Amino acid sequence: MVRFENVGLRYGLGPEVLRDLTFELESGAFHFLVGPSGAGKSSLLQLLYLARRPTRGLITLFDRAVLKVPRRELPALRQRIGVVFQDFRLFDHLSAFDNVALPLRLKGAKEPEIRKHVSELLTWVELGDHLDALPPTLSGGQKQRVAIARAVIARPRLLLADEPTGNVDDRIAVRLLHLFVDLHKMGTTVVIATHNLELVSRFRYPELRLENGEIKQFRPSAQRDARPGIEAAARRV
Amino acid sequence: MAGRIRVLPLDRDDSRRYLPWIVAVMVYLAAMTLAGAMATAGMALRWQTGLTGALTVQLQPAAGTPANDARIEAVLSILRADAAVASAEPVDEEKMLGFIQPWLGREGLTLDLPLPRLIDVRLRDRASVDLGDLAARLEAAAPGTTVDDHARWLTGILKLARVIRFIAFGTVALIAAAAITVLVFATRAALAVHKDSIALLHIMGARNRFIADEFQGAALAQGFRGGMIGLLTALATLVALGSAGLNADIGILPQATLTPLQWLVLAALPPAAGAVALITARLTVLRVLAQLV
Repeated sequence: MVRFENVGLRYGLGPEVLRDLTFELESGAFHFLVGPSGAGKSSLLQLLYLARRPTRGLITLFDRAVLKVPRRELPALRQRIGVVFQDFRLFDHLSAFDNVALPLRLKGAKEPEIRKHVSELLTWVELGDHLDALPPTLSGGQKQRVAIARAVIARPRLLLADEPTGNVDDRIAVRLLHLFVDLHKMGTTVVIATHNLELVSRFRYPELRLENGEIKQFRPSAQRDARPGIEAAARRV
Repeated sequence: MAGRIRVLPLDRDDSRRYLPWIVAVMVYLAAMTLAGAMATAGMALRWQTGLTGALTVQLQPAAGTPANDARIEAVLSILRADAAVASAEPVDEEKMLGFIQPWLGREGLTLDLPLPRLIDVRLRDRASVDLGDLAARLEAAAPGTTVDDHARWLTGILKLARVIRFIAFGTVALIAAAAITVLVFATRAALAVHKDSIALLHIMGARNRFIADEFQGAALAQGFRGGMIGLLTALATLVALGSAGLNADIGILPQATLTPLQWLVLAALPPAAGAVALITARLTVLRVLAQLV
């Protein structure tokens, strides 16, 4: 699914913010991307959702070397990736419905199909009564759920989330993480960047730890933490 | 694209808010320039049509020559005997006085005024006349007679009409170039204003064509709206000019009016402004986005 080989990234002529990253994410994996502020989590996510190209090294995504993908083919690749941003990045003048519908419209889906799926998904994230609401009228948790719905509506094969629980309280944070877990169970590869280690500890998924732009810890999915009952306990929150 | 959700709120941008008004000014200038050029061209054409195939024979009043009527009859008989001449009619003296009334005033006019006599000659279709020979024969019959085929006037007027048309098209081209430049800058400014949203759309998998559609849709609407404002203002100005008497019958000049086809040309300005705005926005956006990742 995702393979990094000696990947480095620098902004302009500045120092490398990511150095010698080498790891592989299997299809259907679930990883937490952890590390202190400034460790490079957001930069790594930007490489993953193809907002930037590495300054060195090789990134393989969906079995394609990213640097060799022609520009005209990048949109199709990006449409297979869902992204949840810490600051939501919703279009304020579009309703919750139209925000969530956008990825389907970009893929050229038919309007009846869009209406059906978007309504279902927004109902699933308990926003069925807010289809026409504009983002500025929604709470932080509601905006986050709209952002998550937008990220998953087109059934991405890779779902990336940057501090998805950063703007919500613990109760909603756990509920949102369960959304990601449900998507993971449906076969989506999930990477969640967070500095909320308490939340990470409640779920038994492996961590990719970044410090100063380097990987300090990586446990592939096969070595997932198998602490029984933690997820069940989290579900009860 | 009917009913398409606009992802980028381009109509609310400060960078584009005044675009319709700028387009309106451009279209107004273009409409006035074109209307002036087309009216002038039409006037020249009507004058040319009126004068082609016609001659004017002029008899100067001269002392010691036979009475005017006898000279006129002599000239008329030569003209009417010519195979190339379809008709030859003396211009009525009252009408002659009418021609010069604007310059001398009614009080200065009397039938005793020694005016030349004019004979309006119409030639048969495709008939050719040896002007030199005709003038010589007329001069022999009635000394002081001259023949004018209006070539001197026609050449000058047609040349003037051509120059006016050239200047008009050049002016419209300059207006279009200025409009395109403004549109390019406005589009680039809008791209800068919405760079975060555009980056987000790219991340979501939007193709450059999708983003260009957003801009071209807004540009088409704003260009057409501005074009309509400009055209309606120009039409109001033309009506006002007509009402002010500038289109009155001056006598010597044909009326400056537009044909239905020429009105259609003016009516095409708003769609043309919309099309220019659309194409400019699309090409600008695609060119800028092609340089991004």
